[in-house]
Amino acid sequence: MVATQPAPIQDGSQPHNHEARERTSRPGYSSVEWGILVSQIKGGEEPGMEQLYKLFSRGIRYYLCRQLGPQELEDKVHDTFLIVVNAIRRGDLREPERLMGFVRTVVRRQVAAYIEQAVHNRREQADLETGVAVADRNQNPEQEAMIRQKAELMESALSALSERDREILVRFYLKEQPQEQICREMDLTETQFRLLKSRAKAKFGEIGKKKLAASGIFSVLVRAQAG
Amino acid sequence: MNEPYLEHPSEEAMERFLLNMSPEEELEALETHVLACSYCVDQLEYLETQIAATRLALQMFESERATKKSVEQVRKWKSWFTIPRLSLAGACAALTAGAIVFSIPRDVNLTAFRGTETAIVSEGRPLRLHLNAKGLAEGSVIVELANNRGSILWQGISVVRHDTIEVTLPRIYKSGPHFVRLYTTLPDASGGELLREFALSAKWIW
Repeated sequence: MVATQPAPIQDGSQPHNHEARERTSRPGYSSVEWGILVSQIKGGEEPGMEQLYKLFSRGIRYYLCRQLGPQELEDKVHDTFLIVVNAIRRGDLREPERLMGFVRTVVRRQVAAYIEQAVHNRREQADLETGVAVADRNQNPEQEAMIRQKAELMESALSALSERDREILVRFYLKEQPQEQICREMDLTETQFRLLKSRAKAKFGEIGKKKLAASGIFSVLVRAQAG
Repeated sequence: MNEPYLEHPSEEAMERFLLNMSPEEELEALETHVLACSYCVDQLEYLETQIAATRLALQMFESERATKKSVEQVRKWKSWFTIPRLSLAGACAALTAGAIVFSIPRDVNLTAFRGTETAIVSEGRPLRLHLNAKGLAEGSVIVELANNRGSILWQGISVVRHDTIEVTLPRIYKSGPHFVRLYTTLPDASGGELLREFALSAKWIW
């Protein structure tokens, strides 16, 4: 059975079928005829433009947000699309099958250009305000609350892990040590590292689920009694 | 066409991407794929939350552990300050002090009188004697400690220098008169000459 693609997420909540994590889900571009799509874009045809937007809007938005932050995101996504479309119409894309790589190149150049512009603006323009405005790169309050709730659940699960498993997680996620360093210092092979990390995360998830289920049952009972 | 970016990246590859640990080739394939795959964008967003929560949980855990450790250390340190323990520590300290005090040799200056004048020395403590050797030739001498019955308690060698002989005697454990004698050679060999005699009286002195 091939799982269908989940609906695009706008509010940061989990996808509905995320727990299943069907790796057999086929990408949206698997059925795309690249040659037809490119020729439709070159001809300015609406279906081609629509399909291009549908295919790449989510990914480009995610990429630009990750690299540049959320401010003026829609404008940047729109500008990037225009650049892609114009480049295709100019004939810069020689092989239609390479459209995905082509889009990546355009997006990366856009990011570089935006960063360069930002650096130039900071150097050349004097701000009338006394302080410098810095975009808040944190998650929104709802996402922050969700992360904190998850973290509290995870924290109690951490004490059930072995010292070794915990050390791997601390080194990888907290200290951001590369795999090679962790393997060298803890005397592990690459395979052992991967197995131990995934086992630690699995135990983590299992214990967390049990605790969540327990708290969920409790809250259902309370509601039943009250109601 | 079998391009690497056509396949969904693994969860490990996505983690590396989110932690900025991707090698160049993997980064190229993953970025190219994700730009056109909403499913993988969902996965990345979910993983981002998971990683953020994992980091926060680990931080909280490590911080709590460090706090517990320091509280435990303070508690262990404080637990020493109970009355029985303090009393025991005090007694040990007193004994140690006493042992140290009684190990320090007492300095005694002696001149040669065998009569009514007798130097009083501490019983049970080593004695550092400064003997008056005025008139004696410089060089080695035999030093002998005897009790009032004439029994030899100790013998040693010292040197006459600048009219003085410095010698450290072992502890005298019995109270009463004792004598320190100087000889040119061992007194039981023929020709041993008694050069001088000093009288002292051992007493218990704190």
